[in-house]
Amino acid sequence: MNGAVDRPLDITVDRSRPGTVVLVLTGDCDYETAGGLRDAAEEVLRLRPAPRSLTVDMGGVGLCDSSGLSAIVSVWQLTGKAGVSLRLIGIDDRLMNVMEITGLDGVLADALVPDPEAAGRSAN
Amino acid sequence: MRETGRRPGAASALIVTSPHRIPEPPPGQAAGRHVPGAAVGASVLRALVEDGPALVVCDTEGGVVFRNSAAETLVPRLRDARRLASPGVPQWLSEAHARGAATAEGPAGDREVTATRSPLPDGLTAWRLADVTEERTACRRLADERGRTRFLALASARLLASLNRSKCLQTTAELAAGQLADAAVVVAPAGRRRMTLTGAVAGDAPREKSLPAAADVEEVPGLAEALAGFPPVPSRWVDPALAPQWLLPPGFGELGSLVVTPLPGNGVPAGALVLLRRAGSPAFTEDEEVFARVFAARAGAAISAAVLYADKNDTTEILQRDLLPPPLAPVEGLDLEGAYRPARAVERIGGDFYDVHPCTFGEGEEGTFVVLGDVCGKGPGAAVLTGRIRNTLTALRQVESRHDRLLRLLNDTLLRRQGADARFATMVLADATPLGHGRVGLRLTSAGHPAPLILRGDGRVEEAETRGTLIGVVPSVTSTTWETVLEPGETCLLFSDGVTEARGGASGNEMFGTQRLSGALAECARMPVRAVVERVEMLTAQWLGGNEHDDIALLAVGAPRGSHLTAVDGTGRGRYTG
Repeated sequence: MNGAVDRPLDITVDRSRPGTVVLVLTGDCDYETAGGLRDAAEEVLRLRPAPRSLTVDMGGVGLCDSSGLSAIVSVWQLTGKAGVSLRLIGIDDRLMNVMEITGLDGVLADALVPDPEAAGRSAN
Repeated sequence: MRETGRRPGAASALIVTSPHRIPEPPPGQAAGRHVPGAAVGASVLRALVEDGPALVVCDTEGGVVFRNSAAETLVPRLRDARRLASPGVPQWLSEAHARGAATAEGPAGDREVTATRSPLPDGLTAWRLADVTEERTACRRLADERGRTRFLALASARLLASLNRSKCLQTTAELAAGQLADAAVVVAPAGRRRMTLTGAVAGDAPREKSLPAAADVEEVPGLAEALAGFPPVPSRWVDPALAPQWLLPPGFGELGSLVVTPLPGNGVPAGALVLLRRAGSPAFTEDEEVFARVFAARAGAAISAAVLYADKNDTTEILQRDLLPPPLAPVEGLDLEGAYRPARAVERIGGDFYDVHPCTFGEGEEGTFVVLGDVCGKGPGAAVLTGRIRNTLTALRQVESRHDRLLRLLNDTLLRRQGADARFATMVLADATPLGHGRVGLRLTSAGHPAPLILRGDGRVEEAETRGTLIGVVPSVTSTTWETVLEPGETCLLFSDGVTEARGGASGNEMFGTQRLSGALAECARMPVRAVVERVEMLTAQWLGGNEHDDIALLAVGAPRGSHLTAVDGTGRGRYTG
């Protein structure tokens, strides 16, 4: 590859707010790295006591390809089964556009509602 | 002297032929009573000579005038020999003496001996003899060992040069025949029931044949065990008379001896190596048998690697076959052109696909059903799902022509599959119906896929207004279908995101994007579909500039230019009678 540099995906787990775990993603979420997001979510859902909600902060994500989307869908399915509410924040226009094309914006509508707490936090 | 204890009577071997007599020591100067500072006496010299290395003293005529006991031990016949040229004394020594050579060497009985000449006063010559048997054997062993190491290195290099099973078997047979035997046969399983015999006679090209139907590996003692692999069977001697004819390479001649060695594989044995020597060739030594096993271990590893690779390759090929789009057959009243550029790197091969089926829409309306899609992810998982989607769609299309219902059925089918994961697919469905006069009716439905672009005759590019949910993730999917008509010369382009997400350009990391694709299309107004597809393909390739890319699929549906001229009265097949 000349130029198109793949970045790894860093996932930071933020548990500073009670009942909520925030996964902060930085890097590319693609075929090679998307598995990490799924694994991280599974780990969060194994926590006891279980968190009430999981927030995935995609603000630091550069590229998100179909495998990345698939990982997001996985996380949505896993949280749904576990009864944990999911929020996706920091989604850029391009990714939002892809979500619109694929119809995922409808599927993930609940998760895409801006989180007042997260919004409040970033305003601080 | 007698205390040297070489052997009984050895002391008398200090044969002294007058006049070269070493005088007996005077009494009082016997061993152990030497006076410090005094000159060394004859008895000391005697002791030194007698106790030293093998020594023969000869006169100019070759007469033996003296030999010590070590010389007699080495060449027993020297004891009684009056001349060097006597029976039982090595001929090479007397010849060396006669021609005045400084050194000589040769066998003496079962020993290997070197001789070095030292001139002595009074025209006498001393030959110092040394037994070099051990040293020479060690050297030969080392040379052998080096030769074998060289052979193994060469064998490894040749065996690893190819991942082709047949080639590996042939190389094994060829190397074994050249180095270890007169001929070699590699017996290896090929599939569940077949066995192949790859035979090579030293110096000839190897040949592969199937094990004859009437033949049984049990006929060769030790072969069935070697092929069974476990417990590991040691190579064993086999009565050559028991070996069946089918084992011998053609023209081999009479068999003298054979060795059967297992070719250990990766868990499963790779086969067996049979080494053959002709009657008259030396039989296999234990050493050779051990070495054959060392070679067989390397060959077995190479063969099983080749077999594994072939298996994996077969699997990949089968999977890829399902990924490859079909050749497009000409359709009357419709121009179709597709391009599929699979990802170069095998691990990036994903699930872009397209299919074209002739079909009937509703009331006998004939046309063509087109689908272009993209299964998320890459590798075998994506390939399997791609195959499943294509098959399911082909089948469902027979019973359901409405796009929204078709997509719902497909979604239900995929959700019910075993081990359902988050792998999804996006696709565009298109029904193309020739309307006569060169016009083509289009029904387009996107299921989570980038909407097709329509290139109008005046260069405008429209995006099809269709949208829908991706397939395979959620229980209920919705979609909207959009209909339009292509006038002669107009084109509708279906594409995968491999085009719009191609990363390259000036920065090397920018996406090609829908805007650029639209722009590129606009320049293709009224071009034939083939030219449109080629142009988009070329621009994408230029944009990539050699970067890695995902699968890229393009499919253009066009209304033929000018074909309405023939379609006006085209009643021959009753197609447009409606």
